[in-house]
Amino acid sequence: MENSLKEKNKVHRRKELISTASIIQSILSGMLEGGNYALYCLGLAFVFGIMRIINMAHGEFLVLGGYIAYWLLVKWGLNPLLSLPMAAVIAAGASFLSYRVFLQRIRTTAELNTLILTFGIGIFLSNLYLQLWSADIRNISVDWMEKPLMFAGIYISLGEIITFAISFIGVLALHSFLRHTKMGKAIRITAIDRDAATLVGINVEWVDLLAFSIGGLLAGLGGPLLGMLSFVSPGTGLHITVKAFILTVLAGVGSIPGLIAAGMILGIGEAMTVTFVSSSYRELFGFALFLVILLVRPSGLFGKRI
Amino acid sequence: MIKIWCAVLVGLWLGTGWAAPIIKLGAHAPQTGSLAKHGMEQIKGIRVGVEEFEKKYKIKVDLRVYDDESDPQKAVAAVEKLAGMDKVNAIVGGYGSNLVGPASEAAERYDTPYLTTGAVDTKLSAKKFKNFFRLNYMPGYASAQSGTIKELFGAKKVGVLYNSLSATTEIAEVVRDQLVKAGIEVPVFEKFEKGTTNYKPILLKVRDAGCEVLLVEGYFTDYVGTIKDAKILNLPVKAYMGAWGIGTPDFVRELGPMSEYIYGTSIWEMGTAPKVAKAEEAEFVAIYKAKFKEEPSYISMLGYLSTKYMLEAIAQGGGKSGNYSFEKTRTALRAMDVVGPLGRVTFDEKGDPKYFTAILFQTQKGNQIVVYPKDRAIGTIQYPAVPWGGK
Repeated sequence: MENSLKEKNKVHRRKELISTASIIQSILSGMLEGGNYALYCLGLAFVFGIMRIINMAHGEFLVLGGYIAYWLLVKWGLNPLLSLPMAAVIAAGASFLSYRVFLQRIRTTAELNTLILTFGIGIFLSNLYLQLWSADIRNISVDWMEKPLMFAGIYISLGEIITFAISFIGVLALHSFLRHTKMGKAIRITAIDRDAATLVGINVEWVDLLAFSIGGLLAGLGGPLLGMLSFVSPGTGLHITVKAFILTVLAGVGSIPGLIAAGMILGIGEAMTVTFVSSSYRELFGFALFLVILLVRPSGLFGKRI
Repeated sequence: MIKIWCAVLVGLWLGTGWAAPIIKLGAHAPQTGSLAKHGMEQIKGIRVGVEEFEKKYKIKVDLRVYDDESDPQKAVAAVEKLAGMDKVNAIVGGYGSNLVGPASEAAERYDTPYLTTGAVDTKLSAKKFKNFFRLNYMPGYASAQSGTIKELFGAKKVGVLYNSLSATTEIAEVVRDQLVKAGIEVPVFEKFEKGTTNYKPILLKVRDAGCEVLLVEGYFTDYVGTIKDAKILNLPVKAYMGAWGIGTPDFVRELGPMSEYIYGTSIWEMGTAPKVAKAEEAEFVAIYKAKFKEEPSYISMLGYLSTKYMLEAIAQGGGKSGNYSFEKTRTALRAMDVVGPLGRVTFDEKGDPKYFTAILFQTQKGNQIVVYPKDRAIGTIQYPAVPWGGK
């Protein structure tokens, strides 16, 4: 009886502590975080949707983009936003090499092999970063992007708005590329039926190489933004890959625009869990949602063929 | 021919000029994984410790270092390899209570003396292992934080956010108890998981509760995240305080102006050694800087001192004949009573440092200015002040 009274008081105190402004702020921060998740996951979702490869090195390609932006900022003072193309191209190059040297050889074998191989590539890359750039945590700090803007008691930084916009543009651009360009259509046809694609004259090997490189490019795009909003370090990659995989399943394989919605559901859900329950249940929420979606709707929330 | 070879061997042996047989020292620390940064600093300090010992005592040290990959299982494997296969005389290193806990159990199984510097959880010494020794432990940090909040800030409400790992959870709980006992309210006491990227929802709780001080018991990445998000929210607090790994030269380099005014605990900062140990402190810093082209952190200093104390205990236990044994090393460690850069060092029956007290500093113009305890302070606090403006 006494314990239950204590619990009630605790809950009451918690409710008293949370203001409406904080709830709105929390939803907004979750929404923006969800947008970031979508960008971080774009490359993995694309590669998985097209090639059925769970690229476990995805996070490491993303981290590479972050390091490129960091060093361009430190050495030449280049604004991280301007370094986005270079970070994306270098990550695409690393991805291209990984596919050409390793993955191409086992592409036609069991799917599990590609998973193990990409996991190995990820470990190799994270240790390479460790040797090249030490274990130090790198934070891409741009003062004007971190300055808060206030609207009706709600705070938001310019960096968060820009990142969200880039994420949104990235998703739309990829969606349009797949729908409206010849190359995009070739990729989609290959994803649907490789034999048919070969019969109509599409070089499926080349399409695979291109798709995996595009996956790296998209990952590289997210790296500088991760460095700006948070940090990069050699060990960051795996955490990003896991989060990206959850989101890919949540959105549904093949649903590129669904990533934004799924990202927001995850981001807002996590923020609300922290606000109303406890921060220690935040990760649990993500994994619980992942399991529920797998059970109730295995194709994901917005899953359909590309 | 045999005679010639014997002569060569004897010549070589004499040529080394070592006074006693080689000491085999084992070390494990994270060189990869999430704790790699701290582990690398620790190993650098250990290497300086070995070189200095060799120079001073003319005893060769065979240092065996294994990367425990920030993983408890790998830490156990490293200790088993060091004690079981390499047959080392003693082990130093280890970072993080969750790694050192199982690693120290392995050292106990092999009956090998184990002196650590990176594990502060009080539960570690509760088992009363005869081989377990450490240079720092948690109560020394907690009292530095609560003492500053009470005596220097005079704050009434404190928000405590803490990483769910065991050491940070423990320090958070002890500090909360100390604050409440001192009549200070702790309306927000919130745990967060490793890898959290959005801290705003918990920071909003601190704002809504009207806390004057934000106390974050975490690690480097947690500080980066909370400070960035506090800046975006323009969090209205008067002070930001962290536990370990905050305010280091790397931290200041990465966060720049956003590291200004923050408080953190440390064991050692340049210039905080007691008078009698100033020369030793200066010597270590000079050697470290010359060798690694960087400033040593307190973790490097801990690595250095743990190695120095352990090697001296082994040598002292072994005597002139160099008859090293685990029992003699343990006895020498238990009898040790020295004043070094950390202050007075002696171990109690559980292996905890009897006189350990942390220092608390504030970052001012990029420098760590020790402000508490008052008798070790080298400057005064700037309060209220947080890097993003605050109250």
